[in-house]
Amino acid sequence: MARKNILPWSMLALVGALAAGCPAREPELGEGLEFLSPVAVGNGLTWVERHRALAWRQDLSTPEGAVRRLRLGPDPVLSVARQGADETLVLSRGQRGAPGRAPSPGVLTALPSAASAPPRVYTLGSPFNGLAQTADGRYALAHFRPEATQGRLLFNPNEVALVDLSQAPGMSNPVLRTVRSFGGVPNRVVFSPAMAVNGRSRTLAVVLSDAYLTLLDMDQPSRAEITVRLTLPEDPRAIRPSQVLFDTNDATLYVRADASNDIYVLRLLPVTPEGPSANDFRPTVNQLAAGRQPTDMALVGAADNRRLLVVSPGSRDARVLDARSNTVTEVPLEAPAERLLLFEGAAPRDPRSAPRALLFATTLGTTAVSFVDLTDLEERRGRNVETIQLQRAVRGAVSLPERQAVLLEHPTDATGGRLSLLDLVRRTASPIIADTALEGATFDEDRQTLWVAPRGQSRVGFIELRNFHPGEVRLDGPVADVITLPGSPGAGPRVLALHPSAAGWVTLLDGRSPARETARSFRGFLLADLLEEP
Amino acid sequence: MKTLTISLALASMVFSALPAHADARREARWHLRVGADTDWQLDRGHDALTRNGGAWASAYLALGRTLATFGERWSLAGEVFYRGSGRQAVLYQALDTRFASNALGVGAQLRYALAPWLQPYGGLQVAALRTDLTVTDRGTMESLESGAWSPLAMVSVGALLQTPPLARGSRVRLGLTVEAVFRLGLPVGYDLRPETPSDETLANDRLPVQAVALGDLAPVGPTLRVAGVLRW
Repeated sequence: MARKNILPWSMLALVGALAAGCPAREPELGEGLEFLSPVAVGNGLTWVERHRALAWRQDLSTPEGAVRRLRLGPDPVLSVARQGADETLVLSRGQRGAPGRAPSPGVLTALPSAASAPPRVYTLGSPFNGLAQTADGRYALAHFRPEATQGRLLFNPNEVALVDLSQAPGMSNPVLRTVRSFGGVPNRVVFSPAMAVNGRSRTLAVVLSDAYLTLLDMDQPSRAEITVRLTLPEDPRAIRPSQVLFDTNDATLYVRADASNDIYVLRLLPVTPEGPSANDFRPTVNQLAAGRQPTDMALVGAADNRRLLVVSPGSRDARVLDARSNTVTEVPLEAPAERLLLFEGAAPRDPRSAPRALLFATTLGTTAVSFVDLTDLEERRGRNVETIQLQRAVRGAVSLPERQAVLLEHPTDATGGRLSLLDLVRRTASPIIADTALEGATFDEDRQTLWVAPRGQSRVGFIELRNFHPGEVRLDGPVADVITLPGSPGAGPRVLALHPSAAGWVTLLDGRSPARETARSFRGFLLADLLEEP
Repeated sequence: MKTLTISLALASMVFSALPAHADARREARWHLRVGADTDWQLDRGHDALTRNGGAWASAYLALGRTLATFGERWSLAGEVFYRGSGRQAVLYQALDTRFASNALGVGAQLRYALAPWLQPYGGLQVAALRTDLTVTDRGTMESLESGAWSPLAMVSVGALLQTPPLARGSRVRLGLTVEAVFRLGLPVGYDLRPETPSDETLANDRLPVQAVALGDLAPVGPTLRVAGVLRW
């Protein structure tokens, strides 16, 4: 009887032991996917998935399109190409602690494109969600963007982290700072080009808040920031500064605000620093009237005679502001304008190449554009303006300065084509019948071809800009977006059509001779190494 | 699993309680086994292809014959077998995976007749294993697939529980085998490619696609095999 009882109990023990030894499935395999926009860097693409905190680096310089998978800091929220370097910058917010999960700080990861170079991880500490970088890619500034919640019990919205990307991470890199606040939070950060102030070249970070801005000297991160109010202390208006131009020869900043009729001119004057943490410059603020609701501005004139051209649709004029003499010259316009594009070229009645501007509106329904000759504009004013009737409203514009042309987008109900090409020299507009919008249109690196990807269609369209010949390539699946890659040695520029797919699907096109015959696809690359140990 | 354990326990008690028939030692030569394998995967890569990372079930079908006897208690049997399974899972809430595994092979068992109703045995099996993996995007319904052949070996120890002959003069018996198996196989690499359209015109029109390497899966791990047996 005892022998009869052994067998069932033995089997039970065997099954139990086997079941106990079987681990559960990795939880992250059941979580959803959320990709950040892919970033074209060097010879490939970088894809970042938020929930798994993974990056895939796809090298398209080789026929097999080798894929490398990299682990990031938790909760990546932003990925961008680093200016001037073959690197992708990924900002991760970190994570709060939870049972079985240790808290981790926010980090900025620099992912080099070369497989041999290891990633650099800059510990930021705070869960920043905004990032700005200088034009040369040397400095980055992490900050908080205004959002309803940051997912933390406490956070300081005026905290920023200054990162020197040319240096390795360390105790003094990045530098954490809290910018002085008058009750607001940073909306945006812009960087100056290298500009000489008090005899020394430096890069300034300009933090834009609702009614003030803050200047940080990136070359001297330990020095105090300078906060400049743009309204009086008793004025509660949020004027929202939105555009900053830098006159590097005169150490001057021009600031336009969305809810102000004035342009703010900040001249940076040299001073003797009072201590090691004090600055060696001080801004003075001047306000110049710029009509009603100025919407765009550009610096014109030679370095020793720099002026500001502003368009103000509310007062139906353009204005030339001279900050040195504090003078404003009004230039009346027949058609109100919201935007301006500067170009150098001839005109129908002036074969000499000269500085000129195209003024147009994109939201007012205006069917005319204005050409403005900038030479002697203050003296000749309205006589330097020529208005051209397009018969169609303009919704968007893409400047093609190398081609002396502007590609205009018209509303979908416009007759005569949804796109037209405005010849800046002849001042004529030629329609291009298009089945797509300019939204998402992209140039290849040397601006020889303009590419468009109508969402949901299995084709990409292009216009060769040397002869404005349009064409299209049929692909194997619907296209979500199109990205251009720079050329590599021995090869011209390449274009990537992105197809919607959770597994990853791109089609690579030859940018010089786009055709189905020379295209090839990469599919499933986001599953690369899926079966390997996590 | 609980139901299986209770069933096994009950079956073993039933067999052991049956009275020995007068010609119980009249040995059957052929056997047919139909059963189920429960696999435990040691390679964590299988997690991506299963819903919960737990045990995997396979169907098992074998036809065998006693090849030789050694004395009154020892015997050697050979069998050909088929083992197949298919499983589905959802990956990242966006992809459906299907993983099919089919093996065809031969094996040998060395049995010892401990009692008329109980024969412990040890076995060795080798097979050709075909595995096919399909990944389908839930949004676009586009599929990628991969397949591979690989060798598979299995070593086992188990016990045959059998009834006496069902009729006087007959060799026909019913039985149950319970087997602990260990599977050994070489790692198999999977390279995903798009599914080829059945329409030849469409298939020839597709753009060339670079395959992507998913990594390797090693079909290694323990298995519990329970099978019903018909012997004659």
